[in-house]
Amino acid sequence: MSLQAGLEPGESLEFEYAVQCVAPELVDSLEVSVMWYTEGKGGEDIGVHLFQRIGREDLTELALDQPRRLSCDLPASPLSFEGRLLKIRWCVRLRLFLRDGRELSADKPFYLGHLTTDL
Amino acid sequence: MDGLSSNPFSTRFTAPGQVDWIGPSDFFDVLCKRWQASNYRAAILGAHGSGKSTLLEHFVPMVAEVVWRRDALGCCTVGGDEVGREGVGCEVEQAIQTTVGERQGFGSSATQCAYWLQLRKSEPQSMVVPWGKLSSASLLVLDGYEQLNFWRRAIVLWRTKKIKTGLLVTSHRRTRLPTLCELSVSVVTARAVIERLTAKFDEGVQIKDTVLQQRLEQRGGNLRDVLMDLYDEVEQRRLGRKRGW
Repeated sequence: MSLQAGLEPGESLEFEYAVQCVAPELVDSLEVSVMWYTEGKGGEDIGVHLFQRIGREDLTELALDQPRRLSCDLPASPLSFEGRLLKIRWCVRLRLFLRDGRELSADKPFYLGHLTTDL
Repeated sequence: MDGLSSNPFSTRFTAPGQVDWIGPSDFFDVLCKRWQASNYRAAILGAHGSGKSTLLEHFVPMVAEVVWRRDALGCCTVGGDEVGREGVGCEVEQAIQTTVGERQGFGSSATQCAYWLQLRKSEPQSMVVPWGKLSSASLLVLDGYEQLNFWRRAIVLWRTKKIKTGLLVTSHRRTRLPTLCELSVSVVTARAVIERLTAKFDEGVQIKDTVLQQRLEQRGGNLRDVLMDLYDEVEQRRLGRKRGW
């Protein structure tokens, strides 16, 4: 996956993804999401900003190894935050659901805003 | 990049069920046999952070086909998917309607439904058990059973026995139920957990067995607390690096 690393609220996020080293016939479905999650010593919270699912029927028409471009406007909050007890992370998450029941996932983080970029 | 790299000891990696169970290869076979021998009514004992909830995460899906669960915040899930708050949703009804037959023993091919309640520490007596849903083909799981007062525990024991439903609880102290297993954390287990947590990260954690033993003793055998201490140390180390300490 490739995308810009640091972004501001309201800015447009553009990224592209491709699936390599996985035979297309093994893939049952694919999910792409732009999301945030918390990380730290407490419970985890998540929020999904953009979600796109491509099912088996549509996958057959796609060449997975060819880059696919997506974009979305980023929200005003929550901003990325790098605290000691709590972190708020934004990422683009790609999940592959294989026909044998396995699941592969890849995250590409990016930083929204500039609250704690000095850290 | 330190700024966006995860702390391997964050709750999202250390929460019950996130790390594979560490123990002898035949552990769950033995456990299933004991579970059957106890007539599906038993307790998992252990101190805070000894792995009781982690064991439930692995064991309950083995002995029940459908798992309805309510966490301490009231969030309900069926098979891991969130279905709402507080009430037993229609999703579990649908799941149960597809089941056939009476109980033939947990762990067999007979479909079972487990109702798994995580008791709220602040108000454990307010726990609402879905009694109307329980039958001889279901299992009631209570995580944090010792938080119930004497009368609530007595009611749970009596009613589950009357309905002939399975009952699996976790507790810090002995109960009137047969003990399925009693957990404690050894240095070997703690080290294995730490190694698994750090395997995917650059963050090397060098800790001698004697120090790990000492920390476990200081924390009363609570591995969760030891991992939280390591979380702080990783954060401290990263902060030091950023500030050039």
